Amino acid sequence: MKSYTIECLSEAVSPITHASGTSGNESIIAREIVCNESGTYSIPFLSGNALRHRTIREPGALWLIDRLGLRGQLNLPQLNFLLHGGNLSGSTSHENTRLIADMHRLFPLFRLLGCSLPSQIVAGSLDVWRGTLVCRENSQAIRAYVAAVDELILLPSERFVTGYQYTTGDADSLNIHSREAGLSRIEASGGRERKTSRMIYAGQAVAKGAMFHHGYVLKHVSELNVGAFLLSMRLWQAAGGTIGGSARVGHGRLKTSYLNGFEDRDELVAAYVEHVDANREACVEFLMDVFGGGAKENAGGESASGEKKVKSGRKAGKAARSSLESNSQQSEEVDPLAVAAVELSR
Amino acid sequence: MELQAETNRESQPQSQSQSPAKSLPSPLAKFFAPSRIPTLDTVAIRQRLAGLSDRSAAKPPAFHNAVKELAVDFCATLPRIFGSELDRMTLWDRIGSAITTSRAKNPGEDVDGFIQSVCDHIKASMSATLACERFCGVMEDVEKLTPEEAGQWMDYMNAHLVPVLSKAKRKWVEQRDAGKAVDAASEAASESEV
Repeated sequence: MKSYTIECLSEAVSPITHASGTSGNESIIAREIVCNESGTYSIPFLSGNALRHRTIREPGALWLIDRLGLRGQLNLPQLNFLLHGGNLSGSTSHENTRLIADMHRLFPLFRLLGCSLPSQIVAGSLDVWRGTLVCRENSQAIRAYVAAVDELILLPSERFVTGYQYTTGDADSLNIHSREAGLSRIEASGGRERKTSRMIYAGQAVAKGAMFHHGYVLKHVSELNVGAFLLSMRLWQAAGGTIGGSARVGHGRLKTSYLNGFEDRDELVAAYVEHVDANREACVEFLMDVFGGGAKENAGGESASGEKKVKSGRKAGKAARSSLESNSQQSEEVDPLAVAAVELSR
Repeated sequence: MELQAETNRESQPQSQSQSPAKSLPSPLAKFFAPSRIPTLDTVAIRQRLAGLSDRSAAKPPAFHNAVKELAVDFCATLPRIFGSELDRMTLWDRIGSAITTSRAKNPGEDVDGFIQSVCDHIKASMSATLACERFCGVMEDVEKLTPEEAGQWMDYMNAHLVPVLSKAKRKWVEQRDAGKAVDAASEAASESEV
C-alpha cells in the first residue's frame, strides 16, 4: 500500500464552459476568489467535484457496467451506486464490516472513490484538487508544483476569458427546409402566423489554449486502485476529455498530461482489468444482493417486508446471472471495453 | 479472444521519457485499452507555458501610456476624414464599428491592413486623408511600432473602445474649437488691417 500524488496539466483544446449560473440567457463561468501579494481577484477554475466525476467515476463506472455485461439490466439503486456513489436508503444505518471488505475487494474503483451502501457510508481514498487556471494571478499557487512558472510573467486571467453565442433553429422561420418543401411561412407554422421561437443564447468561456493545473492524491492504496484510476483517466481522455457543459457543441475538451515524472503504466491497468474479469460473477452478485435487497444487506434481521426483498433480490440475482451467461456468449464477438470507449465518445 | 494491441488514436509527441519496456509486448496487448496519457518533462512544460507568457508585461509603463495616447490620437483624427456621404449623426457609432470590424478582419499584426479597413469603413476619401496633417502625423508614430507592439496597440483600442472614443471625442472637440478660435482671431486681425 502506498500513497500517490499525481499532478496534471490540462490544455483546453476547445472553449471551456464550466458555468456557475446564468444571467438572463447568458451563461457565466465559475470563478473562485484568489488572494495573492497583489490583491484579491476572481479567477475562472474547474471544480474538484466536476473533475472527480468526469475524469474518474463516470468513465470508470461506465466501463465496469459494460465489462460486467450489465448494460440495460441495472435498477436505479445500482445505477446510483455505480455512477453517483449511491445514497443511504436503508431504514437504519449500521456498519457491516464484511460488506465493506467485499466491496473493497471486488471494486477497487469504489474503494478509491468511496460510496454509500444502502445502510452505510464508506469513505474513499481519493482527494481531487480543483483545476487552477495557469495565469498571472495564480502564479504564486502554481509555482510550488510547476517550477517553470517562476521564469515567466504569465498572461492575466481575463485574457483567457472569451464569449460565445449560438442560435437555436426553428422550423417556424422560413428556412431552407421549409422552402425546399415549398411551404409558405404560414404553412410552415401550422396554418397560423406566429412569431419565430428561435433563441439566441450566449455565455462566457475559458479560451482554447488556456491551461489548468490539477491533481489527485491517492491515499494508502494498492496497485489495483491505481490501475482503476489510470484506466478511468485514459477512458476520459479517449472520449474527448470533456469537463463542464456544452460538450454537445464541441466545448469542454481538455488534453491532459501528467507532470513531475508520474508515468502511466500499462501493467497496472492490465492488472485491474484482469481483476475485474476474474471477479465478474462476484461483482454482479454483490450488486444484485446489496441493491436488490438481497441477503447480505439484511443479515442483521429481516422483517416480513425484508424477507420479501431478499427473495426478490435473489430472483433478480439469478436472472442477472443467467443474463450474464448469455451476454458472455455475445461478448465473445464484441469487447465491452471497446463498446464503452465508443459509448463514452458519444 | 485475441484482440489487437493497444491502438494510438493520437500521437504522443510530448512525452520525453520513453519507457525502457517499449520494445516488449504491452501487458495490455490482449485487451483493447485507450492510449497512455503522456508525461511532460520540465523542457516540455516550459515550452507549453511559453505560449502563456505576457510579452507586453516586460515593457515599461511609458510604453503602455504611449499606446493609450496613440489610440486616442488615432481615433481623434477620424472625424476629420469621415466620409461626407455618411450621416454625420452616426459619427462615433461608425468610428466604433470601424475599429471593431477592422480588428476582426485583421486579427494579427498587420497594422496597415487594419488602418486601411478603418478608412474604408468610414468612407474616408483619399485626398482628404492624405491632406490631413494630423492623420499623417499619427501614421508616422504608428510606423515606429514593431509588429508586436502594433498588435498590442490594436488590441488595446479594440478592448477599451468606449474609454478611448470618449477621450478621442474630447480631444477632437478641443482641437476643433482651438482651430476655430485661431481662424476667428486671424479673421479679426485681417479685418482690422483693412
